[in-house]
Amino acid sequence: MRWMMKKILIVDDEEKVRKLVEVTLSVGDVEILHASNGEEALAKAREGKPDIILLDIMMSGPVDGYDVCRSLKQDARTKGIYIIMLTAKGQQADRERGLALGADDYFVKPFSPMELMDKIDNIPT
Amino acid sequence: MLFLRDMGIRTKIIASMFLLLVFVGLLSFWVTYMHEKKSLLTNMQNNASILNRALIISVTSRKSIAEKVNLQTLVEELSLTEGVFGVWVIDNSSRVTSATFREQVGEVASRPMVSECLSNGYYVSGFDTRMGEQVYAAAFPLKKGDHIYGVLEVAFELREYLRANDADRVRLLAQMRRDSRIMSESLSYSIKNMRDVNELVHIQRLVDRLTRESEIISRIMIVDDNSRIVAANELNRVGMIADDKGIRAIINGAEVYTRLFPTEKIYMVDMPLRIGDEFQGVVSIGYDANHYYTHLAEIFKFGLLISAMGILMGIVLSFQVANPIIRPIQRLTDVTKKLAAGDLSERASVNSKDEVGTLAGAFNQMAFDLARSKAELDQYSKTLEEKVRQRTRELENSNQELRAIQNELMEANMAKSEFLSIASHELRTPLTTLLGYSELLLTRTLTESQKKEFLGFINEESVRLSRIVDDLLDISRIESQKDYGFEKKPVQLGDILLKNIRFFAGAETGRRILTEIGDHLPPVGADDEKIGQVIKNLLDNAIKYSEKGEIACRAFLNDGMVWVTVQDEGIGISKQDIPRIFDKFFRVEREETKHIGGTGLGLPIAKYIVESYHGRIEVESELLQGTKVSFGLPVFKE
Repeated sequence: MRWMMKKILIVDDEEKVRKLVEVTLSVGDVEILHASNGEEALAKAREGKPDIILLDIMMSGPVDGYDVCRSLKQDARTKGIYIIMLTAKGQQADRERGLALGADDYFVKPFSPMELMDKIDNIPT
Repeated sequence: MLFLRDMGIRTKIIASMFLLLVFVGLLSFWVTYMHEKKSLLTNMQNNASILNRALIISVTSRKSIAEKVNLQTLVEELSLTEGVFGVWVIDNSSRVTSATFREQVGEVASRPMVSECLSNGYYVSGFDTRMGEQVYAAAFPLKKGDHIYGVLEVAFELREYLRANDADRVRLLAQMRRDSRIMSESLSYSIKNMRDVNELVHIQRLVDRLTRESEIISRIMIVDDNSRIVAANELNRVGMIADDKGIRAIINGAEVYTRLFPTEKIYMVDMPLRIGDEFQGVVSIGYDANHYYTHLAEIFKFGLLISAMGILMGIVLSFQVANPIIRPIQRLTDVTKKLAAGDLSERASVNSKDEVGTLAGAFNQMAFDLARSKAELDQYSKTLEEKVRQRTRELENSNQELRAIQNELMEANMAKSEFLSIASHELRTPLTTLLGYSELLLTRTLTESQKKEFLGFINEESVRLSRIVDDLLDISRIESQKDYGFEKKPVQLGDILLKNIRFFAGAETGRRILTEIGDHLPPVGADDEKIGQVIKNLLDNAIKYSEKGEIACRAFLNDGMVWVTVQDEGIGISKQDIPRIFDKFFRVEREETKHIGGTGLGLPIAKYIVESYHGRIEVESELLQGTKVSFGLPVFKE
């Protein structure tokens, strides 16, 4: 199915990874927002009201991905945002922690761009 | 001897000796006493048998004693006739043989009537006085043929006659004459049948004389074979039946029967009276036993004296015997007590060759063995204690070591987990770029510039990945070598520094590296390859984190250590980052460092190596002013 115009926020401290995600998803009708750390991510999420957030966990700076996820899911305005953890932390405990904080899905680096597209495609509206 | 059970052996021996001696004393006393007693009695018995024989000789004529007794009985019976005052049988020597009044038997009847009758041989009668009383008496001769062997005299009472008138008197007198005549004649017939009347009197007289004259014979009694007393020193008993144990025994056939009457102090000897083989009666002789009792009392006293002396001697002897036995045992006991109290050096000094000596020897051996065993035991226990203490110490030490190792292991395990977590993250990041962009290149239609850009990304990340792998391998190798200890040999830090500077200078970095190396630096104990890596890492960082400016390297001696410093004029490190600068994978992340590749392992590796050689590494830095890293190693000592 072709999806409606979607607003996607990419949060990652590695510029190359952000660009990779952007290029991967740019084939559809999407608007891409960037954030390179936790604080920026929170600001852009509240301001830009994205539909989906692809959220890295380990980022430099005082706010990491877990903090961002918790804050957004506790806020009524932002709790509806679909959050996909996109992280190099691939262990089961990390995944469970992310999901417990309210993350809607979990995606482990390194990833296949095609799989990421499929995942985005299959998000229930 | 039960009461002696709890006494000492000494008391037991003394008591035993004492009792034994008392027993022997009493036994000998008793034997002596009995022997004396028996000999005394035998003596008296012998006397009795001699007397018996004398009596038998006295009773020479073979006539029945019983008849003589019968005569007395007859006389006494006649005396009971009414009006009879008395009856006397008198022998031809005027001696009374039998009489109404027994006490008169044996007396000489020197009455004129009796003399007349004896001398003339005819019947004489008339008024007379007997024992102060007027009687009518008649004497009748007892004849055998012409031989007059005795006189029978009968006396009648005259009380009735004297009260009567004259006429009656004549009548009464006539009657008395008649009666006396009849009585005399009938009695004479009876007597005629008897044998010699004299014999009876002789026995009684013998008896009287014997008892009177003898000092030792106090009682004699002659009994016929019907137990009737024929003669006795007590006249009133003549004619009575002697119901006596001894007499019965002799009549029943015993040869002799003796008895002691302690209260009367009389020794009675009963023996048969035989004439030829014919049993005639019993002779019972009572000896005065006063002498016997006196003698016995003397013997008793003497015996007691002897016994007392024996007992006294026994006591003295007992002590004399007991002491030599007891003294060694006492010595042994004393020593045993000392031994029991713990004095193992004590020995018994008993040299006798008896059982006690043997016991003492065995005891000494035991004491010796005991002392030796105790010494061994003490030694053993001391050694054991020491061993236990040592083992305990060792165990405590090893426990501490084990705890330390455990802590180390736990820390190492945690560090390893953390390291793995971080390392996996560090590897995944470049891999994400490689995988993602290569897939895009393969699957998407891209512009040439895009392709070029993406390939550039892939190249960059490949280099980064390669460096991370190198560093990981380095740190892994270093950590594994740490367990075996790094090789240590004298190296010159200045030389190694120069060599590396030349390498970097030759790599066309376009940077100036100033070098200042102290003179005559002493060698340090290290491995030049490892130290080379440290210096390389420091120089690498200095060049990477400073785009321009000089890099200054120095080597100098300070406080027993040789120091190397590498100083740049680069971006510096913020204060909050300085404590984390040696953490693995830590990298200063600032706008300025975004494009600087690195793994965050260079400084941890450097610190690791330096500390392995007991050196120190320090960082001084100020934000945007530059950073100075120094490390020092101890001077090498042989």
